[in-house]
Amino acid sequence: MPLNPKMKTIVIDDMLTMRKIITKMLKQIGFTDIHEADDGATAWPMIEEALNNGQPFEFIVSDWNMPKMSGLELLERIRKDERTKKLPFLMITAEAEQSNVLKVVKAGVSNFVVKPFTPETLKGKIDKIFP
Amino acid sequence: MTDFKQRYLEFCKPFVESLKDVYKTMLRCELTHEAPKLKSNNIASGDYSALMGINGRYEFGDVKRNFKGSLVISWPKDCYIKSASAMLMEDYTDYNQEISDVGLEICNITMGNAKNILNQLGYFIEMSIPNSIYGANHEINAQKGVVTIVTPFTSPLGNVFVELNYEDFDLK
Repeated sequence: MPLNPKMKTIVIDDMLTMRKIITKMLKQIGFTDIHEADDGATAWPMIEEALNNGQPFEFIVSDWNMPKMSGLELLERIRKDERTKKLPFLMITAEAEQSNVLKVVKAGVSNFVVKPFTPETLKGKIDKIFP
Repeated sequence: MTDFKQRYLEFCKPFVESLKDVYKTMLRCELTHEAPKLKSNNIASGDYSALMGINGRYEFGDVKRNFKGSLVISWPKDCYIKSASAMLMEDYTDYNQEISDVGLEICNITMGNAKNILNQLGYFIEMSIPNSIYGANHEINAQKGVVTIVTPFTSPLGNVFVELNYEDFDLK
């Protein structure tokens, strides 16, 4: 699926700082329809509501470490649901250990980016999801 | 040099390098570190401090030990506001709620990257949730028995301080 900058995107991170940075970088790339959530637990109802409204999210950008529902738990829930199992999912993490990478790959992540990162790195990761 | 001192220095280095990498990548700013010093009081080096507890185990060859401590990154107010402005790509002139978790995020990323490097050296760290303290001359009480080393950094944005508390002990 090619990159459509108008695609409905949700940025999920418990830290306001990271949400602001990612949103700003996405806008620089050209994204225009960006929503935010502060945890996987608050994002999931938003994702379900958008599905029920017939305007589903088309791209998820999520942090891994969050207090209520982690990015990994959210990814697993999304992949289990028939309606969202193919939803592009970019995981953002501060932990780059091989074991962690394997966990998210096994769970079906579309791509992942390790903090710290530049706008160019983020764009490169997104380009690989939407060639 | 004792084995403990060698482990302490080996343990500190990834945090120093990781913080420099965070500043270079996300704040487009070069940090220069100065000589580390032993810290003997509990007054923070800056006005804003972000801290994370460190617990884990060390395994290298026949040596197996537990360790505990904490990472503290501390900024004078002016440098904190300039760092937040650089990271968020916006101009801030005073401390406010909007920039209150910038230090937490810098601390979190620094810890995550250092953890990855240390993992390859035999240190296995359990990540914790970062906390912050704001206010002039605030106190940070380290765990009993740990040694604290503070590494000052200079940069075009001002001075930043990394305090590492570390102690290791035999596995029970």
